Amino acid sequence: MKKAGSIVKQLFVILFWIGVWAVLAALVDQALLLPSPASVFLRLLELAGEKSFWITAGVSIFRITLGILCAIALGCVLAVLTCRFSLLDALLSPLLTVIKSTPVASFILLLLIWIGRDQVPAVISGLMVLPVIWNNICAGVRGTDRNLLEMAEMYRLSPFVVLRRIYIPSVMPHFLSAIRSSIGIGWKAGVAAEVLTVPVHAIGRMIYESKLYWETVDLFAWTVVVVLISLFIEKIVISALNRLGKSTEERMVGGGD
Amino acid sequence: MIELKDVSAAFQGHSVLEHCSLLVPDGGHTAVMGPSGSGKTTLLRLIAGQLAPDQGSVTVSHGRISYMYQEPRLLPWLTAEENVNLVLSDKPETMGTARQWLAAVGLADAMKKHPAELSGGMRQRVSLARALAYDGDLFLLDEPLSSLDEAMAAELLDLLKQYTQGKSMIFVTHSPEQAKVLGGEIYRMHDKTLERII
Repeated sequence: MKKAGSIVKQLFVILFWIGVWAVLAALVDQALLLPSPASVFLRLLELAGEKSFWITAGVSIFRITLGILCAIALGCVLAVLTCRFSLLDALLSPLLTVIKSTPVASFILLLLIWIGRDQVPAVISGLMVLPVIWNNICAGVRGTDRNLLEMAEMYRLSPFVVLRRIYIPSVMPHFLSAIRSSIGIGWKAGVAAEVLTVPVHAIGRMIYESKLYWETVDLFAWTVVVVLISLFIEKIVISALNRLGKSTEERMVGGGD
Repeated sequence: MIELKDVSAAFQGHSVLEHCSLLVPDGGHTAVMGPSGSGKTTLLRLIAGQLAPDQGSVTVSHGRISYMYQEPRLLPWLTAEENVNLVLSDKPETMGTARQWLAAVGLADAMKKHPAELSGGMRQRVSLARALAYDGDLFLLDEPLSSLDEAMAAELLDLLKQYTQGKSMIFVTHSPEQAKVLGGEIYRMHDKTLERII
């Protein structure tokens, strides 16, 4: 009952803002400046009927997801290595600071010069995710309970058991939190990179071309696609991660001394 | 054999032990008493090799040490039986043995519970079951029965006495009764050094 009420409330909020949009569009009365929700919706339906739409969306999702997954893997490796070797940590930490403080647009343009335009969005998504994963995993490794590690040493647990039973569960909440906070940013940065680099088969390219040819309805329709995919990421992927994190936390509450 | 010769040690910059000497022969049982903060845990850490002395020497001839820490040090994400099995092999084949030890310490009904679901005394018993399951040549037990009621403490003291026959043991306790029941020599920490009582 409570859940149904919440869904009704959410639907009301969505309808309210679509209503606001419709009123504004009617007031402006120029589709070039602000198309109506109905025209955008119809265009979206038209696009959804085209094969090229699914190819474009699919390639964008694949490209950006690949970048994010590579960054997650690289972030894990770098975190473990920098936690283990302090010299490497000292060497690589300026790199981390540079990545975090450089404007994403600068990276996009530099990468456009250095590597092929088709690769830039994936690399940009990865660059947004990498420092968050790296930092959080390092925090998890460094925060691992020393008492448990001492106990493991005393009972001569193998390095594999220590990794599986102590380090991974200790790092997991930090890892999940890193994914939660970076995945959406990675996706949006990837689309922004597509807009600037216009690779073949890319949502960003369609947004760029819509703007170039003053097809505002298309621009809105493709923006809605980006928003829908973002919502999918946040609602489905992140809530799955939240559930995973919650089940781990529930078992640990108050335990362990 | 355990031999401490004129050992001094500091913890976090403060001198905790000064000129301590102790000899525990193979299979010997020794109880160490003393007020909180008197250096009993530091003594066990020195013997376990988890702390280096500032002065003197520590010789321990035992290979495997079953160390029961003052705080249980259980993995919060594992069940009681998984915590015990961890020191056996961490494989399903040895889970039966882990369960037997949990039953022996009176936790037959709590094997599937996580530490967060157990009381302080129950966690202490899981930790004791883990130390017993590991089957060390030397048992270092840091106030192993402090959170238990008298009846349970007496029962487990019997179990310990029976199981550690022929094995070396250093048993830190506040209770003179427990120290006597175990037999062997009794020391107390006094003015940062070890003083033999019995």
